[in-house]
Amino acid sequence: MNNLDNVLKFSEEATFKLRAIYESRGYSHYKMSKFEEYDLYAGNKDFLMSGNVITFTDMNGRLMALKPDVTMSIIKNSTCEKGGLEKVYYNENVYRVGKSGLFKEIMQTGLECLGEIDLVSVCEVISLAAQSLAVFSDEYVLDISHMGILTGFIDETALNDEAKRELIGYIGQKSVHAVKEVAAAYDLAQKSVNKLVALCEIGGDFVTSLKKLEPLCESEQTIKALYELKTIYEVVSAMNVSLDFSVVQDMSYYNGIVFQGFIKGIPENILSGGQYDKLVKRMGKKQGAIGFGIETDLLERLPKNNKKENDGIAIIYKSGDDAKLLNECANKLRADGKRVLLVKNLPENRSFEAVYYFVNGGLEEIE
Amino acid sequence: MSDLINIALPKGRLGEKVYNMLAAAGYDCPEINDKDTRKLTFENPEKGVRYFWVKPSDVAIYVERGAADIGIAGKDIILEYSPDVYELCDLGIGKCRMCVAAPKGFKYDNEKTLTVATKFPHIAAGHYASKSIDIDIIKLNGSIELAPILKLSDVIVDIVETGKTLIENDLEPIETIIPISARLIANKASYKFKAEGIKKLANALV
Repeated sequence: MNNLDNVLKFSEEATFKLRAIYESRGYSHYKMSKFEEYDLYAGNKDFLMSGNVITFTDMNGRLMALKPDVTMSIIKNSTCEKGGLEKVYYNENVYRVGKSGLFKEIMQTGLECLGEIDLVSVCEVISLAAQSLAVFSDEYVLDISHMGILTGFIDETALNDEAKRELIGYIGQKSVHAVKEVAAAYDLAQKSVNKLVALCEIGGDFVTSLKKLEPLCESEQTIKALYELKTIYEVVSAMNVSLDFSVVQDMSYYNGIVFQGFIKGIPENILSGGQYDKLVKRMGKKQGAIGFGIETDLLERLPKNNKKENDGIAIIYKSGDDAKLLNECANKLRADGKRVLLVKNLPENRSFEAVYYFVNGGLEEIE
Repeated sequence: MSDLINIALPKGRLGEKVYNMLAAAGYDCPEINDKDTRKLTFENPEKGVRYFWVKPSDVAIYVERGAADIGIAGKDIILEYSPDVYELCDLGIGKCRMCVAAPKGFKYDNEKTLTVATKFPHIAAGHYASKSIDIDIIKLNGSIELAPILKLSDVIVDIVETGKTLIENDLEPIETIIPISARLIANKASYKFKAEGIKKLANALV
């Protein structure tokens, strides 16, 4: 059977298409081991989606972890020279606690661009994120946010760190009422309240959102972030992107653009990424980095993931039947592109296009 | 995910009240009022909505997992389960308080571990952690007021609406943890693809 279209699941086919896209932009495939020393994660647990990690002691007594994350391993091994850029992509299994509270093996595809990150790199990565989503479905949305705007507006309130974290959480939930409650509790100036409420409400069309945002950006930090957003939009305007500040990431790790991708039919974000120079610096490296990860297992939720209409053809034979003739019969069908299963008893829970008995060196179809 | 807006309503008075608010705003679905029906979902394609009743504590799960696009959940449930959803508005109904209650005359003894019976272990743990008080949580699923009476726990953390049940059992609220009311929550992915419909419906509720 030469036609892989009939064999590959949608998620597998999509993974190959993603590889082709990343390779076309010069990204190299990054292969790594499944284990990493636990110490790598211990200091940056908040960066992980869940602080829980599967650990074990290796033969030398070192505490090891089954990788909960790929990004930190890539940063650790980065050898990027000053002024250079290292561009890699990966397809790896990671081990995390899922929504059910149990550990899950998750297939993740993603890419990282490490080095001196400039707007060219940022635009390239955002564009690749949108292109990746387009591989899965025409009905996708890439929500883009900027930590520079978010932290800029929040820092202007001069609240304590706990209140700031609270506000970020509420902006992430689009909870205008909760933001107003915090504002009232701390007696924030109306100007600050308006900015924070705008962060909850901005969404949808990028151009309209930028227009709403522009008059609110007054500090050097937010004006610079606004310029970055405008530039990014110029590059990806043909794609389904929207400005949405409910995409929030940990301020201790992320500093610039952050984004999340959604596909219609999948009830959670399938893609997540951003610029995380702060994590790189916390890990003792000087450069910056931007990247994203895609949970390709979630593609199982799409109806088109299961492309098989049936299990093909079954041929039932008996012990002692002529193996050569049986194989010739089966191969004839396979040459026509059919899937053919040779069995002695018809398996249950399978749905075949046709079932044959192998009788007297030939095939007899069963109704 | 169909193009109808799937709405998870909490079984009980609160859910009925919210349905009536939605019906009055034009999102009615007459068959939902048929008391003899055994149907579990009720839809009105003309109005673009599908309703279903679920246990109040399950609303957040239905919404987070995308079976419902939006739902009405108490702030207590949202705080306890921390679902990854949008909390679009405070409906200002179903108001009550999450309280610590204890037998009348109870005095906290900081020389022993405080035992706390509750249906809300995360909320209780978070509350006492913020006060650096060491507690032993006893997770119960109902009749929480019974726990201090039978000396199963020193105090309880529970929802107090009128406080009548507490008074009848010689208990009293000693501390309010947080005010509670009903919230409109939305699945994050649904919000991307049904934004207009969800916003319109949310506006009809506030």
